[in-house]
Amino acid sequence: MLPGAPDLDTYWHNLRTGFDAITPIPEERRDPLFHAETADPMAPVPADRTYCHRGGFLAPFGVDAVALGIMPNSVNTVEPDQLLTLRVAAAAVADAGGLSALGDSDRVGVILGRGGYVGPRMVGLDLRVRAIRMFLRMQRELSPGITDAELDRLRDALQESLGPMQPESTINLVPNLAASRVANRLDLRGPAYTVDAACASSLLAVDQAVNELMSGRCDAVLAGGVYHGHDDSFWAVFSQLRALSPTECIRPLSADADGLLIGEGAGMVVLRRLADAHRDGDRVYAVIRGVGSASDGRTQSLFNPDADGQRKALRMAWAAAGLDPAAPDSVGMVEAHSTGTPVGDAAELTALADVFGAPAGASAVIGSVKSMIGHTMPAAGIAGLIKSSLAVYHGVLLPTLHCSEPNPLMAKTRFHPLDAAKPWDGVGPRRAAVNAFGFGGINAHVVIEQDVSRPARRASTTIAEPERVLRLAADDPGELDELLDRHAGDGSATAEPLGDPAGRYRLGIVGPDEKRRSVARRVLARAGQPGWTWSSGDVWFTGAPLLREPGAKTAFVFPGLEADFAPRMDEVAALLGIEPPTFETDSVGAHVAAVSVAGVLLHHAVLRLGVHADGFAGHSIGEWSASMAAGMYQDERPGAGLVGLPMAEVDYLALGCSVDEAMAGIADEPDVVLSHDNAPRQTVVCGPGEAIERLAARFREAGVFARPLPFRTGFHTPMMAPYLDLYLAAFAEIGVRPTTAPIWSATIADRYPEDPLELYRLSADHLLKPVRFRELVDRMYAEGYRVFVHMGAGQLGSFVADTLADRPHLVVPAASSARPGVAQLRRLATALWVEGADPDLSALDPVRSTGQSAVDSSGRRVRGRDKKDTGRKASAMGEIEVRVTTSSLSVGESVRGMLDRRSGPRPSLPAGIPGDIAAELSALITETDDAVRTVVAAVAQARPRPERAPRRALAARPTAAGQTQVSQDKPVEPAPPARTVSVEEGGTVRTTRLRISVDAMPYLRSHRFFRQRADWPDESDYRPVVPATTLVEWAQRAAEQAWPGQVAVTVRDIRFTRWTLAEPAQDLEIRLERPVLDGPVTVHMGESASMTVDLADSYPPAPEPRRHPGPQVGPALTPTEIYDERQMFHGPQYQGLTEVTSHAEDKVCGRIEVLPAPGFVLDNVGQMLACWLHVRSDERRLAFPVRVDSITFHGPPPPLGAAVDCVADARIPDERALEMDADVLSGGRVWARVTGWHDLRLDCDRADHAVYAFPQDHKLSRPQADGWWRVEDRWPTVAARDLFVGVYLSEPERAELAAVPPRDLRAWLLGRFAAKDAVRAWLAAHGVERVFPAEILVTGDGDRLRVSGHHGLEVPALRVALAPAGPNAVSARVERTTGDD
Amino acid sequence: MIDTSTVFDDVVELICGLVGDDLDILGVEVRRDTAFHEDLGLESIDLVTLGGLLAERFGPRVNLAAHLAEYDLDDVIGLTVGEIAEYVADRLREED
Repeated sequence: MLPGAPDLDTYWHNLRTGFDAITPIPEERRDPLFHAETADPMAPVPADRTYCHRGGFLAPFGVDAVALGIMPNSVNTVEPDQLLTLRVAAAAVADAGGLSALGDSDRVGVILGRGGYVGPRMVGLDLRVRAIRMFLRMQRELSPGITDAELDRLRDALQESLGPMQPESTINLVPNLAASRVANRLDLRGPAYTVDAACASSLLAVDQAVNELMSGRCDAVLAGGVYHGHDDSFWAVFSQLRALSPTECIRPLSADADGLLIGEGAGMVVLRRLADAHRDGDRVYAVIRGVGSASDGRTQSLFNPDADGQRKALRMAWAAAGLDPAAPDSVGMVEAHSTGTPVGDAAELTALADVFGAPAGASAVIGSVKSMIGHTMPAAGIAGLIKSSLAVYHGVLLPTLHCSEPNPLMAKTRFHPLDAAKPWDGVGPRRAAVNAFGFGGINAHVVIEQDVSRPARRASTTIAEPERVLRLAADDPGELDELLDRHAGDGSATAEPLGDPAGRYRLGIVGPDEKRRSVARRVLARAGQPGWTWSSGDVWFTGAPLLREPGAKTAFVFPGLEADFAPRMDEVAALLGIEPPTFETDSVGAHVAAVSVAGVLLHHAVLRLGVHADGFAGHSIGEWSASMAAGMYQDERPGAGLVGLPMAEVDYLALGCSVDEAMAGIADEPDVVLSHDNAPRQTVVCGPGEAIERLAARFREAGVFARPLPFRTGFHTPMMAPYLDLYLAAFAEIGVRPTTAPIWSATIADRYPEDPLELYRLSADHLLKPVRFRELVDRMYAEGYRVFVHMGAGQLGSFVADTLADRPHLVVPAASSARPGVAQLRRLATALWVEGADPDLSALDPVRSTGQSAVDSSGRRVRGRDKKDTGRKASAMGEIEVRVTTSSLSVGESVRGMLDRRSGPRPSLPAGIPGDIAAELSALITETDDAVRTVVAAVAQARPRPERAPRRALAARPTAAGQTQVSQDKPVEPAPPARTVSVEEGGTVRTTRLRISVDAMPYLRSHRFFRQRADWPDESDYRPVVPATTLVEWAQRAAEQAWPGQVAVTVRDIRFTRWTLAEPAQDLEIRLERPVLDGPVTVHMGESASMTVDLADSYPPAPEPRRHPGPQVGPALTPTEIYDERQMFHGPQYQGLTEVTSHAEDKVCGRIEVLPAPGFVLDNVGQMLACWLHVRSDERRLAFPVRVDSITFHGPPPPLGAAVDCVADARIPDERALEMDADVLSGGRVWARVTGWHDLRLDCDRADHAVYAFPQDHKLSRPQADGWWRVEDRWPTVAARDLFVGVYLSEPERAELAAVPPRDLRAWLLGRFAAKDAVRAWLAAHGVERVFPAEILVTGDGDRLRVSGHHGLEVPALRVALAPAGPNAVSARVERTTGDD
Repeated sequence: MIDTSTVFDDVVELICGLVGDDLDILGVEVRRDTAFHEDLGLESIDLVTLGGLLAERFGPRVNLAAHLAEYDLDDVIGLTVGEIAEYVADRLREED
């Protein structure tokens, strides 16, 4: 891990492309005072400032603490360089084939270059131990009047700002743990230690490692170096030495080099004896021929580099290699230490000139990776060694940045820098050398060369030989022909390209059998034709590689839902070391999740190939996957966490024509809209089922292909409007961050906006407006996108190809439904290589990938039972981000401004008052101040302060037996949620699990949506759900328990996203996040709800109650009307309303008698609003809360049995919504103020409501002639219809319903409704009355259904005949099959 | 009377026009069992063009769109040249 390169593949990519990873210091690591702008960077700076603000910085990284054996809340007590090293060591071992490939662990060592510099955790300890003490001593010096009590408070506040002290964690600061932790975690028992030779540390570690291997003490050594931290003191040292570049650019070996920039990172290599490596068939990146190290001895200065010492080290290494450095072909590339300081560069170039000379004809490349990543100090040597090894291995000479005009001394050497990568041609083994020189005069040099004796790879007995790949490149098509003839039988799955890798004419063949070679020959025969390219039949050819064109870009394109979804992913999963995913497409939600998971896996696999996107795009909901892949979301969730939200019941029709033809064709269907403009030859429209059927017939009649799609979502049409709130709530929950590569939107045919608000708007438009995919592809082409990698196996690629037609481009899928995953990835890689990309085919090598699954990303040995976990890690979930910033001292509110008055004059103390009296007065003022401050300050305190924390005055909860315990006189702890398990995840995240069931929470039996016969045995048929307001109360209590001593005063931004069913029992995870000390707590309640809770020491004072309502309008509602007539469905434990009255100006009042169920009072406030709706409207009479802007509490919950009053301003903004602001008064004072309560209204008129409220007495169907009962689908939304699914169907019938294809759903349901009504009418005629629909079990398909009694009802042998009765209606009639009449 | 072999040749000619030179290079001989997607590398979106070509050659009664409405998606993917030719011949026979 180095700046800009989280892994080896990216590092290699960056090295070849000359990626400049130097950036300004990240905001979170920048102290504005230390980094204050300097007027003149050339002028001397004070010790506590720097004039340089740029460097090489690692991207944020995380660790899987559990896998590393670290307590999650201790992660950030460990010096980050230890965690960094662990990650890198694990990756190195995995790359080497896993731990088993290293041999006997007793003989595996770890030697790490690490300087003795302070890291952020050590700085934190120093602040705690020393700085606070000194600050307090100084306070006393500055303010002799300050009291001990004040100083104690200051001290406490300062210590507190550093977080809780974890005594046992101080061990995590010991520097050598950087090496020991690796040995410990990987269970390596050879020597493990760190070495410090300043900037030469890593190469000294390699030197040591070589000795360990030569002496036979070790069989394998992990060697490398780490530098991490960027501590201000380190920057100060380099600033004072004027070693940092005042122009903030590091230009190694350049004539205008003026200093270095500091980088950071870690690198490791796995070293083995060559014979062992050959014996075991290891991949050998490079062979170390010789290592030399020497000190300068007594020189003029400890700090100035000395060419003598360097020469000595160089000569030692070449002598060890048995080679003459002065030979003309001795070396092809030297990685210089060059830090970009004029003195250092001069010494190094002098030494190089002396040792290598400049014999006639000798020419070699020199460079320094420091130009791209900065000077990584003790890790500098290993960064250079890994760079050189990759160059030797791949045969590519690498560029150096900012060196267009080399240092004049270079003219005396054989060396020159490159500004772009080029092939490493020449005879003999490729050889390179690496320098690293440290402060104090320690010099190291390593000579490496290509492993020319590389034998055949270890054969695997279990894996079939992978297909060969032949890749040929030349500057002339004729040469390609010759190469093809010559190498017809060559190639392996990972063979390097043959010919001139830079060649313009490129041919790739996967599985080059005779047939494909013939195809290739015929393709080559036309190579002379202008613009001739080929990409079919596993053969790819071009004479003009797309990606070599200036500005040519690669896009990753993610599919949405398609009719056919069958990518072959098992091998891809194996490649990533995770369990193969199972894909379900039974429901739309599962389908969305499956497409998303497949896309993300493919993306990870393609990244493994070293192929990166310049931009991301998606088709329809594929944009969610694209956003995920681009890193826009904070975490990766299948379907971006939107799976399971409701969708519109409308049909799509895919048309084989252009958007213009489609629009003309639907002009007379007002309910049908354009949903997708996919390609010139495909357009999709969307609308109600019957209109779609009409259109399908009509388009086909006109010869246009018309195919209804087998899913219903309503996405990208106005039909989604009713559900928008839920999606936007989910989006708001996801959390977005800026991405480095752009994401392209097909809604606007443009890039995603950066402004979060715009982004949010676009999220809404994405659901409501058509997918303009064709226009997007055109737009991206105009922006330079030429290569489109399709992260799926379906039709999407053909939309791109159809749109781009004859314009030069490549569309290539990353998956296929026809061939296994790796075989398709191999084709992808070959196609991309032909177009000029440089994919790493060895990433598909089964030997390597098998090794990789042996050690997961955290370095843990994966054994049987652990294997499941690796899936989670492969997608980077569950990691804890490592805090790389240094703690700083700051005090909380409790003492802010405490010493303020001392800074100014004290006019209140007239001159001449004796000193002792002044001190006394001063103390008095202080005490008064303190008293005031204590009242107003909200202090973050870890320890509870029960005397100040108001408790629930009266707490009572029903026990499991359903009885109620009441305690009147003394405060008790709020009842903990049933069966709670607390998991500490660190200081700011708490997770609680709550087991939800009607047995544990009997009050939920009073919150059942549906009615059934009194003795009904199946609880799920009642559908008990947790009230929304109960979730709110649980969130409050959970936050109060997590941060004892504080009370939840405000709950805001509340979103209810899903019903929380209580049967079957389920676990609800309550996750509390408090990222800012003393800040708000974000609460996620599983998938059910999310909200923000503000905690404080005490409740805010009650405000003035809202204006008393005017004259009453109409009669008051009584409990009889409300509950017995079932305007509300609530059972006894949630029945609190004793009266509801309506008043002028849409005011509504209610009186509530308090019962113990959690969330009781606010649930009744919600009931009051719903009662008012019943009075006001005959339509859409059912309403459920979906969000609340805020609820502020001004006191503890009202006592049991009390009567509280509620006054609300209610609103009906439109037919789908119901809103209010309300005050709840207890004892005449405002107890809770509700602002912005939003209900969603379901389509349910009076007649429907009667069926819902008293299903045993009402029917959805209407009687017709001849005993037929007809029911009509009059529900525009799924949610509304779903209500009657619950009223009518029993558990086995609902299970059957789940398997009904969406297209047949309506007819199936209407058939059930009508059949049950017909049977109930027949039963009533035969003396069995008041039968609930669920008591009748209907089975069978087609137009003859069988019926029987369910859970006890006796029904004679009856049969029901069904008949369609209009477009949206079905009729049913009972027929006797046997018996008498 | 419809000569089915003539119809087949006509259909093959249309398909060759659609696929272009690629057939020669791939060394594919178009036969009755040649599959539209598997052997010819055509996508379902290409059926749109084929439908147009067929209607142009044989008249509007040859309506591939209407014909394929009866097919499952899998069957459409697996469509062979022979099946298309057979359908065309059937339609022309009905016309007579």
